[in-house]
Amino acid sequence: MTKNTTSQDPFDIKVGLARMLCNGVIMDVIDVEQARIAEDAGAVAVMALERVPSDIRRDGGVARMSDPHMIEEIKAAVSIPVMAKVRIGHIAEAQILEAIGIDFIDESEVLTPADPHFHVNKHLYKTPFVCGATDLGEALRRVNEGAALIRTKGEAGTGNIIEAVRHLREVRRGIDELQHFSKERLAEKAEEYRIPVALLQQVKELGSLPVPNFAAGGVATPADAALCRQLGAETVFVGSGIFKSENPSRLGKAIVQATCFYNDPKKLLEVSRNLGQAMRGLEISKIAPEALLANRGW
Amino acid sequence: MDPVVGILGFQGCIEPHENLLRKLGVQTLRVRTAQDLASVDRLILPGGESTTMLRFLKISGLCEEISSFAKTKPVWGICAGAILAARVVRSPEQDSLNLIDIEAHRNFYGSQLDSFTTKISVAQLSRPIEVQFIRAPKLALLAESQGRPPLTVMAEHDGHPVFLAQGHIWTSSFHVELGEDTSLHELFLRQ
Repeated sequence: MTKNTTSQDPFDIKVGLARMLCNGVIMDVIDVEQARIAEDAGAVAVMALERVPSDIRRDGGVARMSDPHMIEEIKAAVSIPVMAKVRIGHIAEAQILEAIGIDFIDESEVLTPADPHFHVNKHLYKTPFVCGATDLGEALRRVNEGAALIRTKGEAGTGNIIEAVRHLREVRRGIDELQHFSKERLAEKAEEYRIPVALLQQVKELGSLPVPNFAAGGVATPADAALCRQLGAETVFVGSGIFKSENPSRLGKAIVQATCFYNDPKKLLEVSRNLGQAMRGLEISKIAPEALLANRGW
Repeated sequence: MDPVVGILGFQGCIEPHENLLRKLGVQTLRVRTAQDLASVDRLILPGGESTTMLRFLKISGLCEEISSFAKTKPVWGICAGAILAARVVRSPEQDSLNLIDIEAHRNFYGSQLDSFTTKISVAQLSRPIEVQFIRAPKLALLAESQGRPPLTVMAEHDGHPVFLAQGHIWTSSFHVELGEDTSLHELFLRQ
């Protein structure tokens, strides 16, 4: 019953929190009231931000880290973990969020990128990071930089699931492809992905990413959440989808149920009824290429 | 018949337990209904978010079922699962299953920045095991309810009990399923 030496393996602890979030829904909230509704609906965590992605898309301009005061208020109002976003490569915003004691930092393409060359070196922080990815190479570059959790980029703020599905399938295809690679092909692929070959070897052996893989960007209904889960996402982030709908509380609860019972059609039917109007949504082909958020980051 | 270990299957850290138990050659089942519960011999309440799991428990009507299961069969609540199993939950107060006479203080150790890995010694294990405290609750002993066996402190950290047993009900504020060590799972199977 004695205390032994405390070992420091912060990466395991970071991935550990990501594993605790599995099978739960992370909801975007812009104030204390929404945070309470989200917690009550069964969210496992909330993402505190001033504007949800669909409003950022509508308003244009530079999107930055939210006011720390607003994040602190939300942190004080709920007992579940709180996440917040920093611009890609913005190490000072990340330091500020760490100083708040945030539970997870999302280095997010939804905000305007801050560094044209580098993402944040996430190994330097004690706070775990989640990063978006569109394919296996991008996912592993982020893991190599220290991301403890990967999510699809999808196309945030559209309420359109097609891009999240594309990214989930791309990551899966990239992993499957490794299975019959020779040592030489693996080395070549690692070079193409700009990651150490040992990391790619690990993915080949695991048959999955070394960190959890969630879906984000376009989830608007319980069926969308179930679709992402069936394609291998360990859970979903819902950004604009919940609080841009007619009845956020009811929709939030339904998405929480659908995320758990994703392979039970009867249950999905039951929770999908009478949810009111979902968010309106956007056709991807109607968005100007330069306005596509998934193209941010590399 | 070989024992089947149930893992409350709504939310949280489920798969790592399945992987460890598979290594031990033990069958597992994700428990979401009374029917699932009836076909398992032991139950793990995994880590995750206790508020989320509590919502699922209430909707599914499993609270009563788990209480009667726990009268005769081993249950192990881990982190959020320990909060569910506790008699009293504080900061903030919330409902629980009352399977064991402890009080759980949620998020006692702070935010994710205060999460840590350490080695602890457990009474029945010959060597220390590596464990993870992730936004962990504090567990405190309460006076034993009538008809329940005595509480045993199985492990401490920094002077606080972190692993408590009352008969065949276990609660730990730490995780063991994130590593490769199966010794505590083996001990649970011998319960």
